[in-house]
Amino acid sequence: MMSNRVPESLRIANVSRRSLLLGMGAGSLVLAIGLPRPGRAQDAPVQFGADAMPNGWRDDPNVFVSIAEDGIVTVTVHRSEMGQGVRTSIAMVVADELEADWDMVRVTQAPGNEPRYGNQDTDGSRSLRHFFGPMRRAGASARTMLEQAAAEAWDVPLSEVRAEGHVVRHAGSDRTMGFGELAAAAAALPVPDREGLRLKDPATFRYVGKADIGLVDNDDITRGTTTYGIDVRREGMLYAVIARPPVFGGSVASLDDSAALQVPGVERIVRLDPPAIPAEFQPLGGVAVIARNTWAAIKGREALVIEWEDGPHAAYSSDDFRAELEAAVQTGDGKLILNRGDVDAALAEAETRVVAEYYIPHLAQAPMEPPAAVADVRDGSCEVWACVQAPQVTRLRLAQRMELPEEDVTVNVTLLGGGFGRKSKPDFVLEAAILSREMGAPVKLTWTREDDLHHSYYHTVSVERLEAGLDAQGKAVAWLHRTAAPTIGSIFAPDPKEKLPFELGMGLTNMPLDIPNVRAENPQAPAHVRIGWYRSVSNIPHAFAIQSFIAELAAAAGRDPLEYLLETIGPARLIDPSEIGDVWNYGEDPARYPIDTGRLRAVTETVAEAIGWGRQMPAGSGLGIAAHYSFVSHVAVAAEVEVVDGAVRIPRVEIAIDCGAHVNPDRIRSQMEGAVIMGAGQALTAEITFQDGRAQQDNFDTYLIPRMETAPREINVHLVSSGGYDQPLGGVGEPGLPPVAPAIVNAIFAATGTRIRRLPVADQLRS
Amino acid sequence: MTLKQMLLAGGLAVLAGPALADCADRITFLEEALDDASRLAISASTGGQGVAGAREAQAVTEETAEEPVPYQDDAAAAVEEADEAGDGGEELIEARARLGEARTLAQDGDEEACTRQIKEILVGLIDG
Repeated sequence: MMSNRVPESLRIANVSRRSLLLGMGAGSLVLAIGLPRPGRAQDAPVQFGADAMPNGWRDDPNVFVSIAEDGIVTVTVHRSEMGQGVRTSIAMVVADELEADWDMVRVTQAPGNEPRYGNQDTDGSRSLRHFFGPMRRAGASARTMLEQAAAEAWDVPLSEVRAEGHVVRHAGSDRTMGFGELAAAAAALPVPDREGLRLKDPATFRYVGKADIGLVDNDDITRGTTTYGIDVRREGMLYAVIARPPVFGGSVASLDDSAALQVPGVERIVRLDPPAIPAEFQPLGGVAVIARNTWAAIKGREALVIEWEDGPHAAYSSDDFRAELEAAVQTGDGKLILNRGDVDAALAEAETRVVAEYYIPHLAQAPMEPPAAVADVRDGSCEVWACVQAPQVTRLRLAQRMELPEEDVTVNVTLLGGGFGRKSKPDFVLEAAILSREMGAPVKLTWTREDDLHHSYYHTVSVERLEAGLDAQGKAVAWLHRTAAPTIGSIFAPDPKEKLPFELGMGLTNMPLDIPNVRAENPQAPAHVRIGWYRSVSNIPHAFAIQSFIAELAAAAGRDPLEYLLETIGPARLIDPSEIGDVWNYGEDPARYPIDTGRLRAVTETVAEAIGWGRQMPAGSGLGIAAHYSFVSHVAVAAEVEVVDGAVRIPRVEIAIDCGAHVNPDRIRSQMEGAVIMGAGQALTAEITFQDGRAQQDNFDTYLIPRMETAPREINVHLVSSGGYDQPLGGVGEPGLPPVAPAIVNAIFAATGTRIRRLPVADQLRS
Repeated sequence: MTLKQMLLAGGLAVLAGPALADCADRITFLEEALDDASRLAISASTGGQGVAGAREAQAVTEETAEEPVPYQDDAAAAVEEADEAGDGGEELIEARARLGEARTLAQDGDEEACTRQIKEILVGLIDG
């Protein structure tokens, strides 16, 4: 809970800004007293983490655990599965506390219903961070109820029975009863009080922290029997695709659909209105083609003759916009966001000054399964099946758009073939629902790869300008950072031009560097496309710029990059993010989640040792290193690259993460491996560009995610453990990504002497 | 006590408190109030990037402050929490950064300019 140092006697309430300003004289202030107004912040304790999220958390075993007569335990998972293994990890936690036999555990997916399940937004690397505790309690409560049922059946004290390995055993008589035998009686018992609940000693965990637990969906995924959003079929279903305005904010000027209606299988053409601004999660509008199969719908769309009114962003060019951003960071006109010490004086007195600018392009999340949804809106109800990361917001927005009560809207969550933030935005589900209502039948809406790349919620484009002053020993004593990028806020508010606090809190306002004079500024940057969150979000440009720049400073100082990075991080210490200018801290209590530079140093030293830092490298090869704190985890990456004829190959990457205790080590490893591959794509090949407001990439032939030749040949993951299961957990899904690209680019510099400041590398090294 | 109210109270104490002899003391006092306010802002923003983005964006753009943010079906609570998130987020960042300027003035011995700077910070917070 917040420590409130403001004297009680000075507390005021219900004071209008204007009246207080009027009362403020040149040398004094008038204290105004009013009646307190109701409000959460006033009446409730300050909340963090899962407590602060909409609909918080639940730990009721009756919600999450069911046991059948045959002993099969079914765990309901309320977080969306997009390859991160959350269905397995949450089931492991419940099963462990329940003392269930893993072979007897099944998983079912919860529909969107946060009042019942707690928060379901699968974003922010929060699933285990926020639900490890509640899911432990759900499992422990169910176990206690089984034990109590057995004790009553045997008429023995509860203290004499113990659940173990899917049975409950009476210590005195060695009698046992299976979970299935006890299920009905246990279900009739009250849920035990949370406070008196006995959680397992972590030393006795059977599944949590163990490395040999396979994914619960492995077999089905391998056999192709899982159901992704794109796989759903309903009786009498129609199929749709949409021709959307090629420029964000555009609309249909004229339409000739006569040829489209002649395509065999096409049933109807439906015009869709463009969204109001801010666009939020509204559909983009356009022209929908509804047919008896997807192929017919696609062919019908090709036959449409549409003249578009391109709207206010018709001239958007990413090349021109890059120049705008570069101009914006030249001046000190930007909003002041950090200011410690006296940067100007320190720069003036510096022995050496170094300036560099970095460019990070738009990216698309490009999940392997593009957005897809099936909707059935009939008879006063709406049911959808969709690959969504945010089922509850999908439900709320469907209810609003369909003008139905929330309880008449059902959101069935399928598996997601990747998400990376794209599927947090339910625009595609709304499209399906609108068309189903129009047709009075279930409609399956398919986004092609081209649709996805042309109409994404793109990762922002960014220019970062850094300037540093070094003292005679080469140590950084002044640091000036200007960051210009369109904000995610532009989808929620009309035309904001500055980064939001949570975006700044991703590696900028909370950068844990040991530099006495720091200033950061945020020049304005308008958005011309839909900007959305993409795995790791603003940590990507901030980490790329800062970690590249530190290596540049090392070079300027004639110092070893590893040594210089550690010196810039500084000595091991705990930093309260709220005391250095960060007002986000990933929503976590700064007291429980300080930045720990000791942990950041430790992961850095771990990867340095693993890669063999300091060894002699052959010509054209080099090592690079980077470290970054994000999603309350500490990660470092060391990369080895070889550059031949301008082509970059990555023989090896070492990555270390300290995310606290490990719940599912296999999944942490896979998330780090995936982050390295995704980061290699960011570094080397991936870029979305715009011309005349239109995205220029169509498919994976032009939007280049890593292929075999660009993917690292060897990835080694190091799980650096600090803290037990009673300590706060860090995020895993996103923090691996930010340090990858700077480590690779730093290695390229070591290999070639060429500093890459614009991503992706692409052909910049070719002569 | 809301974040805004706490800031106002802290600010009033900074300027009205006789025990705060010089501007450096006032900076320290206000900085502690900002620390507390930052914790409130963290709480109001939340850890999900979707919710945080929606709340902060709506709060800093007052034209839409009467519309509910996504993610919440309780419109009134959503608007209030969005307002708190924006107040605590954007304005706190700017206030803390400007406090750094005040500290430089205090270190230079310019008490009058330092105090003026603190007053401007407070006006910014109140009027933000």
